Amino acid sequence: MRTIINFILKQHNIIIFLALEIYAIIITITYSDYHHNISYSIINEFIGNIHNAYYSLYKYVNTVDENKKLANQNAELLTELLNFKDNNSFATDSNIEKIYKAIPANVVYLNVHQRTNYIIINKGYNDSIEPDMGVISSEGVVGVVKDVSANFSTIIPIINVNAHISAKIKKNNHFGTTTWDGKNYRIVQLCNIPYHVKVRIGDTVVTSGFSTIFPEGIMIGKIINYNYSEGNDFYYIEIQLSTDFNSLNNVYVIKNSLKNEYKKIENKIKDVQ
Amino acid sequence: MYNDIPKHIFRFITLILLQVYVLNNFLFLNIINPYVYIYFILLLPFNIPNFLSTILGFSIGIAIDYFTGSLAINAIATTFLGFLRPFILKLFAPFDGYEPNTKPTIEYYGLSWWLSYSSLATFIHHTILFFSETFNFHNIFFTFGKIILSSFFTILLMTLFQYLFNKTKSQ
Repeated sequence: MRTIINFILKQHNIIIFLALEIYAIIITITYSDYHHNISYSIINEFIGNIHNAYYSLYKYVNTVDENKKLANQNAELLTELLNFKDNNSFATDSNIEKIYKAIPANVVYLNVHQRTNYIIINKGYNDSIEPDMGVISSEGVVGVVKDVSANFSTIIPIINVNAHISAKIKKNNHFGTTTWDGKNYRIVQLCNIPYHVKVRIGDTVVTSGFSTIFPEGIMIGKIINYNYSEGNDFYYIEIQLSTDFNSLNNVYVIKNSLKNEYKKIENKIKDVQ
Repeated sequence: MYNDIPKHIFRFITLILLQVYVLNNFLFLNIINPYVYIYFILLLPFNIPNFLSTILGFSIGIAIDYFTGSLAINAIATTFLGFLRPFILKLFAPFDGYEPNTKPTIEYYGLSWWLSYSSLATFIHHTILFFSETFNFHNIFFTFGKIILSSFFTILLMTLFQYLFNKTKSQ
């Protein structure tokens, strides 16, 4: 017993080092579980508040730019609204407009230069935000909500190496999945588009609507490069994102009111199988 | 030495804010991202116990990780750096050792000592950081390019800090 205590006292430096290092490695490899323990929620609120203070300062300095952007966005929305009213004489299914609800939020922290980028926004479960909701901006897709505390939420953006969003080529409806190689925050890759599909530079890529996260047809970006290697059934396609993450500020969290119903049906299918 | 504690705490907080809000948002040439928060670890006093430098290394790394949501990759690198720091200091020690009441700065030990000390530390830290970030050895040349260029900018900025903030103290 005494030898063990002596050993610990003698080697305390190495033991502390190994303990801390193993703890850090486990968090990194298992991808996460510190997000789910109790302390995280408290720390998240604290850090969210610091991010918020910085954001207020940043916003104060950049008000003019932001106003211009909002004015443009307003104009676009107005145009859309007018078009919608115009078409509405044909619309019979009044349910369509009620399925999705957009909750506006502001980005208080974002990073685009890591491989596992994160965004933090200033709305949380107090504003009925839940994990796995989609997040978009006026320019296009942003990402998916991961963790929620009282007043803040963490979002995994499309430019995170672990993010995969179901997408399709707008003109021919062939669908695939986006991935990111972690290099350029303006460009993501589109996988699983089979070789027989006709692809052209400049084609628009939008969300597929196959999950309850995003509605169909939200802009992701435009194809800027593609190639095909021998012995591979799929294209390698690069998409220029329509969302400029570096200047991202106003986002909308999408709430899908049919999500629970969809989940129920999905679980039933699983039960049958 | 102990009346320097507020100064170290101040440096700890300032470097985190600088790293999270300024440096992480600038990316030169698309791949260079300096991580100057290790300046805190490099400037810890000579006489602190080894286990404390490991713990302080872990603290600043995990703080950065909490702020940026980067799991614990910074903590992996800084814990290692904190653990290794006494050995790096020993490696570059002058002939008769470090004198009491001195700090690991250019002011006391000169530019060439500072550059060799900070370069080795930065390179070790960046290598671990970038490899724990990618977690694989594909694109190994790309990663090495990132490590070398980012290390260069980190050392440059830290040396700049030395000239900016230590001159006034010596007067």
